[in-house]
Amino acid sequence: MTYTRETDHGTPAAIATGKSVSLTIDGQAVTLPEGTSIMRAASLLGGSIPKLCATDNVESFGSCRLCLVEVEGRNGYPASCTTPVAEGMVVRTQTERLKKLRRGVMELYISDHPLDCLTCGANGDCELQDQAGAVGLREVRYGYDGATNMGQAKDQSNPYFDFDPSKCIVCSRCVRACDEVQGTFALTIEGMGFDSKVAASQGEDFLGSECVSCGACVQACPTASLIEKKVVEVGTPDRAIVTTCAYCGVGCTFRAEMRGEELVRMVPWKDGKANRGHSCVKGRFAWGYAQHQDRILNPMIRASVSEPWREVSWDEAIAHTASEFRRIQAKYGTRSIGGITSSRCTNEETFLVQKLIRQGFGNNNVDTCARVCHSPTGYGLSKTFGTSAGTQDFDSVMQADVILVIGANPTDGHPVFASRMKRRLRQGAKLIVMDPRRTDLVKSPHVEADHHLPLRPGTNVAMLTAMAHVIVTEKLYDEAFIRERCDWDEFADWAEFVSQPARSPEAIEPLTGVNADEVRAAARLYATGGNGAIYYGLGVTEHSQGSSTVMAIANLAMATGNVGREGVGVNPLRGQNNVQGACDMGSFPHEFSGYRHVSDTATRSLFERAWGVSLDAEPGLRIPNMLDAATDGTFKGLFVQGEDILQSDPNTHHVAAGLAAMECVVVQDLFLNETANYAHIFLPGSTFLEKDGTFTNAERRIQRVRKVMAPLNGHADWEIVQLVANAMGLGWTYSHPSEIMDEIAALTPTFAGVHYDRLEAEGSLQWPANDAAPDGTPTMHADGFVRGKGKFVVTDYVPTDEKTGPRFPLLLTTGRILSHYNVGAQTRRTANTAWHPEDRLEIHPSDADNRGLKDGDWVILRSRAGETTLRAQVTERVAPGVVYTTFHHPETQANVITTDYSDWATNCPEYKVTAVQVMPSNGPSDWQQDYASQAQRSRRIAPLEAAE
Amino acid sequence: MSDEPQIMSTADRLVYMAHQIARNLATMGEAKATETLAEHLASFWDPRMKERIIAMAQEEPDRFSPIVAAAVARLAGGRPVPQDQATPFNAVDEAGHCDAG
Repeated sequence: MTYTRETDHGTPAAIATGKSVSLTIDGQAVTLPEGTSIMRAASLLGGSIPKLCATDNVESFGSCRLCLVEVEGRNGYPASCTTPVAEGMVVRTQTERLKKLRRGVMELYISDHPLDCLTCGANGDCELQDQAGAVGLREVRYGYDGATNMGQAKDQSNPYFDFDPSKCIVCSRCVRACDEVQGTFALTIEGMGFDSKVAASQGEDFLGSECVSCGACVQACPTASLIEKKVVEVGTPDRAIVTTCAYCGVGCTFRAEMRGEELVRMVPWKDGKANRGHSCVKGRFAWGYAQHQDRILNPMIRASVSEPWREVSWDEAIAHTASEFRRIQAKYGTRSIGGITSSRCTNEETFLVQKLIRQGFGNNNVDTCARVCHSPTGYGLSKTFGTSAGTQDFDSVMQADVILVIGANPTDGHPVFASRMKRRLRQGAKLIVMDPRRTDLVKSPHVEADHHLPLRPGTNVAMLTAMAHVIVTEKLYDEAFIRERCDWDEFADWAEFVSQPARSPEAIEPLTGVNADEVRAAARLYATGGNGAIYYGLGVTEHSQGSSTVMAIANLAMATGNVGREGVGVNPLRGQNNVQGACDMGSFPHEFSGYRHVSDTATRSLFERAWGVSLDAEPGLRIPNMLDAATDGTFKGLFVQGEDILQSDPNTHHVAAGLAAMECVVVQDLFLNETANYAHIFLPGSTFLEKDGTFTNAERRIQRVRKVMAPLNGHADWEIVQLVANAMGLGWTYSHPSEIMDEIAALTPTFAGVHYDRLEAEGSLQWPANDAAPDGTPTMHADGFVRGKGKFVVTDYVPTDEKTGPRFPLLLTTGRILSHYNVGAQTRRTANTAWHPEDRLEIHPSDADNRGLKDGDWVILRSRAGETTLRAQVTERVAPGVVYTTFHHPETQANVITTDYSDWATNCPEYKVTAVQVMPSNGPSDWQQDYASQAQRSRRIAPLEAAE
Repeated sequence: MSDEPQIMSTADRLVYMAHQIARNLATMGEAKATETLAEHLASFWDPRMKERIIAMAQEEPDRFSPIVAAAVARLAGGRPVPQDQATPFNAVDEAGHCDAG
């Protein structure tokens, strides 16, 4: 693929009205949707009216006056960007008068612009330069000594892009992109006349401003005023390949713009159906970890974790892996080893790891980091609706009238989707936020929740049941929908349960701490406000009642008829890029791909025929049970691909004890992560830039990941798994991930129509994609629930066993921040640390005062599971009695604090509720210092012996 | 109380887990909760976990509530009938369906 810019039609597509108009442009007849601009119409015909202030990511502005056209029968020269097409219109885009006018406009721009084009970072990729050529500019009558703002200091504070005021043409594209696309409103034009210039926040530098570094302004800038540092450093790209981001579950697609094998920039792909041309700071800029010096590129082994690593050949490492696993099984039994798949890896890689375990290890001891975040979604939605899937696509939010966000912080965790949601909110949709913290959605520029329900952590089920109480007792439910689509008797049982006085908002107010009137108002709004859409995150699932909460959410949606069409639904916001895919691919110890239980003879026979072995009919161990079995002496070997369980899983002491009890831990990763401190074999992994495959995002959208450079470690991850499998005698012969997907399709009904040629043709497919739905399924349960009748499940509130008391009076909840991702293994190795160099403990001013704490003080954070130290951030974002921290930094090891309590149905850890005490400290604890020292020792790599 | 980190033993954890599931099924009524719990253990627990809790129920019956004891006895007597039927959505060669994380 050679480098071409994406076509810019100048203005967005018209909002569909179903009507069209016919007109003539430069003699060509055309029929287009009503509301289309003349500029866009001309572009769709293959023309290009000169423009500077217009771009199709933002609404037209009409300021540059370069896009003037002539319209027969109309006076003057209207701007084509702001003038809609009309029936019978006759437009001319190029006349002698227009040429003269445009040259005049361009002369004014150029007289005020530095002419250092040859040394400019945007040379060859500058719209001003292009338009000067397009209008035939040959002279500037005003000279070149205008107020070019030369001499003004560049703002180079942002680690990823520069702002050069001298190159600014004040087109406001960046300001409008920040407002309309991102929804942060961080930029403005300050000053007047020649003094006009872009300013971030109140005259701050970009890094210190409210700018969230999403890159929308950089993408919109037509000159070098806002430009990626990497482009300045390297030059313009010479090819572009579309691929999918490896960060969160939104699944943004990007053009990886390359020069040779060097990645110059990632530009959000406008045709991407998940992100629609937008991005966040992680996907747009934080990919430098792929070339970070910490990457391990050679396989390593060691006899014990107290020894330094020894680099070996791939052949030796693979043979050693296979022989160790076989040795352990010979000594301790078939079920003595297992593995963990990664939600960061591709569907194909995940499928192969679980196949290695089921076919090669001969057991079902496979688990995944996806269970640690969204397994209650699988359980809850399958019980109620019939399958483990969010019901909508992301576009659906633009049809929502009431948005209920529960336990999710999308502006930090799913920022690109949050921008879409905020756009809909600015259009007038109502918002209810159910969250212990005052997240940005509760109140930020041009967005304010109609109801914030700051419930006490751990009381989700009580709160949702109270909302159901209001809906049922006030008869706000959709009886027609329920009678047609659900089991009426089960609804009646549920309605009787939620109607009991003990479930009323007033009765549960002492539990949740939320004003009953506010709960009633929120319930009424959700039930009666039009299309009601629920979006939820880990604040729902990571509780001892995570599965019950998901079922309670599904109950609410069914009761109000908010399932099965655009604008409504139940939408889990998946954490990592391929959480959905990891679940779909059979990563859980009890089920094959497509969520079919291992005990089912027909399903098992299908796989047995395909794989030529007998498969275990008994479920395997989940991660915490693997760790228990390890300390009990019955589980001795673990293969971990792309997950750092020591840092990400709860109760670090428990994880460490389990890992330490094993005889062979194999870690396949980019870096020597924390889990690798307990590993005996390290197999270097590859980044998403270095391999082919697919990810499945939170909308069930399967999208291609494309290799843009050779793997630095020599192998894509799927190839490494195949090497291990073949060393264990499995005889795999995949030559490309497309062949793995063909196998997935053959064995998984929901993926039956998913093949690489279809993905190439369609761009993406949302499963189910099969004979019944050849083009995929944007909206689930449209004609009926997958399970048949929707099932109402009674969800009693069962309080967590993690209790506060005199020793541990506060509740800790954990989460993540915009600039970092999961355990930070990738983002800590990028300049994103500029925004978040360490984990901090958010604590309410009253709780801080009681403990004599000031902002920035070191504190001890202690729970029944352990203690750590970190610095305090005193803020009213958290309620009194609640503290909050992130888990991005191993120096903090926030999961030393979290406990083994977990969801009753799935063992999803209860990260969101830990009883803690906070007290002043002088600095890192003894444990932290010991851990840092141990980690340093464990990462030693023995120097290579000199050749004879 | 010691300030040493607390790690639950496997035996304690299994008993805890079974009772936690039972508490969340309690609104079903005793008979259905017993059957559902037995099915849950059969569907999601590894054989060594099942064997362990079956042995413990016999050796330390005082640690078990009536519902959990009955469910474990049901488990020991053979695989319980699944509580959820297969869905057309996931049918492959009439394959069954059971979905959880």
